[in-house]
Amino acid sequence: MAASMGRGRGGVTSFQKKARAKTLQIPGTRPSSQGNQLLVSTGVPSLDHIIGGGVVVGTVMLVEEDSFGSYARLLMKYFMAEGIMTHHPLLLSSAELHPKQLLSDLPAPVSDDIGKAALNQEEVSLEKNVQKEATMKIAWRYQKLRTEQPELGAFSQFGHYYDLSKTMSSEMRDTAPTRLFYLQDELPLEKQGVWTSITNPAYIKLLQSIQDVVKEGQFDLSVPQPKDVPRTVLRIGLHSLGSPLWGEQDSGSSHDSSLPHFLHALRAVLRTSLAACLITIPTHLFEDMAFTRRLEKLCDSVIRLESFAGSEKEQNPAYKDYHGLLYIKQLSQANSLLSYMPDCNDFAFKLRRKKFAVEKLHLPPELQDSQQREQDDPVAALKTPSASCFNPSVKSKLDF
Amino acid sequence: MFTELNVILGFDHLKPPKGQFVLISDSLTDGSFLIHHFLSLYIKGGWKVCLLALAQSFGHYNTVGQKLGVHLTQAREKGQLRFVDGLNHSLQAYTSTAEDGQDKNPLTCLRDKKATLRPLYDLVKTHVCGEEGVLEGPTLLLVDDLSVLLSLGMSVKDVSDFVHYCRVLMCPSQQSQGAMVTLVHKDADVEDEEYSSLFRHMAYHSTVHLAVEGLSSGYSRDVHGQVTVTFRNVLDPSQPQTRKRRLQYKVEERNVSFFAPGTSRAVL
Repeated sequence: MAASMGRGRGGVTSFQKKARAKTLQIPGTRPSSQGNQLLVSTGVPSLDHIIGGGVVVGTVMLVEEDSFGSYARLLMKYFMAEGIMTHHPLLLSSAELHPKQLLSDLPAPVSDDIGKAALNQEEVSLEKNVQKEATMKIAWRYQKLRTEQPELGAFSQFGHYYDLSKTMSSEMRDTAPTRLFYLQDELPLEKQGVWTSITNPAYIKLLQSIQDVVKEGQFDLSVPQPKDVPRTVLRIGLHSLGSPLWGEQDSGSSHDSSLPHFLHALRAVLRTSLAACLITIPTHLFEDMAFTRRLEKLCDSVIRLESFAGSEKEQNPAYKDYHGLLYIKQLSQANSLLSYMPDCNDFAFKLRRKKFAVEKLHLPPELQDSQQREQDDPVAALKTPSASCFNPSVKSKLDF
Repeated sequence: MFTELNVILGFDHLKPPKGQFVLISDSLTDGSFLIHHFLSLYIKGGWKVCLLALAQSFGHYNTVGQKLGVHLTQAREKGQLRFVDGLNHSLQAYTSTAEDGQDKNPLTCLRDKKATLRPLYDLVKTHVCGEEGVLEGPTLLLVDDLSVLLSLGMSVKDVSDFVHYCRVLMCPSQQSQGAMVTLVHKDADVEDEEYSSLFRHMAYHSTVHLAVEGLSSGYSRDVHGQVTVTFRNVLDPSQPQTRKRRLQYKVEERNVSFFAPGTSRAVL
């Protein structure tokens, strides 16, 4: 059958290369390097790079908050801003700040980012080739080292750059459909204490609204969806989940199992839907390390932020270029035997005026101390031999 | 299925051994790659397998299974693989109200403090047994992973009761038809009393114990951790009680390579 068709088309061979399973073409996503996974950007390209490309669609990424929560909040804003830039619907929940307030303070995209990318695409690739060909002659060991940050505009659709000193305009913000979940509005305070079952009602309410959005926005993959609708990815951001405002009681060693159960159920929802989730949890508020570990096991990727603010590391000269450390605790294993393995596990982040960046932790060059060594001081090095030249008490014959 | 591991364990890959209670424990790393090993090993060996999946969805096992050369969707259609979707049951138990359909859910106990894991055991039993309530031919029960039940609020007693019942059903002696494989987490750096007491219960019953640990020297890209295999000899008192073997491993995309400590290709 196929052969006759092939002949019909004028001698074209009927052999067809077996096409690989087609990945969904969704703006703002890209397949992972291992294939068969869809990634969305966190909004911080340097963070995407170290966690293997981005957040895997259908998984939960947990950010363990720094002690003041400011950097974790920043990551959440980046995640949301990236969603707006790529026209992904958003779901944002919070119990502390009103989600509206969080959204009103998103970083503005670097404006000529997209136009520049299209223009410079060729130039950049040319430049890259030139750079690749020029082999290093002296520091050849560094040849294999990958540049930590991809060039600006390398992906026009994936991972935008933002300027923290400006806020995103309200017109742009309104383009993306958003669902905000503010705990105090959704569940009045007097009802929060009423536990009809052994599960915290606040989390049940949250999961129900997530399920509603997934159903209404047709992100559910378990039921067939109409084909003519363009597919997008739902971005779920749960800010400061498990803080005392959610009714989480920290009574020493025994935690109630509401939050773990919520995460387990959330995983079940996400696995069958086109959604990616970023959660920040103030784990430093939990006294029990074992509880934190249980939460980590129920999320897919886990990173922890440790800010230097208020700690003695702030004064440490080794860390003077950075604002905190970033630990990768685990990375998503969904659909593969092996999670992405980064080169090393020592990362630090810094917050400049305009951007937040994650880097490999490097010690600063040691400049001050070098003066103390005598032979490094050019004046002293000249002086001493000339003085000893005419010295009658020469100890060695080699000295003159 | 990783052939190297079969050689180390002494498992025949055409005829996987009966009557084994295999415990996988992981500390500071993830041991779930061994779950996929045993799943593909027993499916290829032609056994009937019941997978009680509490940690991942069917899609995950299926995709990884394909990389290891087993087709789980087909096995499921043929009835060789019975899949218990713990994630979904947990979601149902979480969202449904007290009235509707609670009695059908095997994880009712997550909402109701007084309930036990009995319904889950009954469900497993209908999957692995024939009508007479005994095993028909070689059957494996695979639980991934038991620690999730503790995280969801079950007590150690309930979980170890559940495992005890399953063990009596599947592999009461080394001559029995069935086998059982479970995974528990036991991190060395934090003290989780419930996790470690469950681990001790399981280790006591196990015939083969695979302890997966992260390297004590820290993260490495080329050596992902080490596995200590302990064979527990319960039958013959004249022989030494346990036999141990330690190996390092590296997970690759479709395989896991095992080597003696210090002989990684990256080191030599």
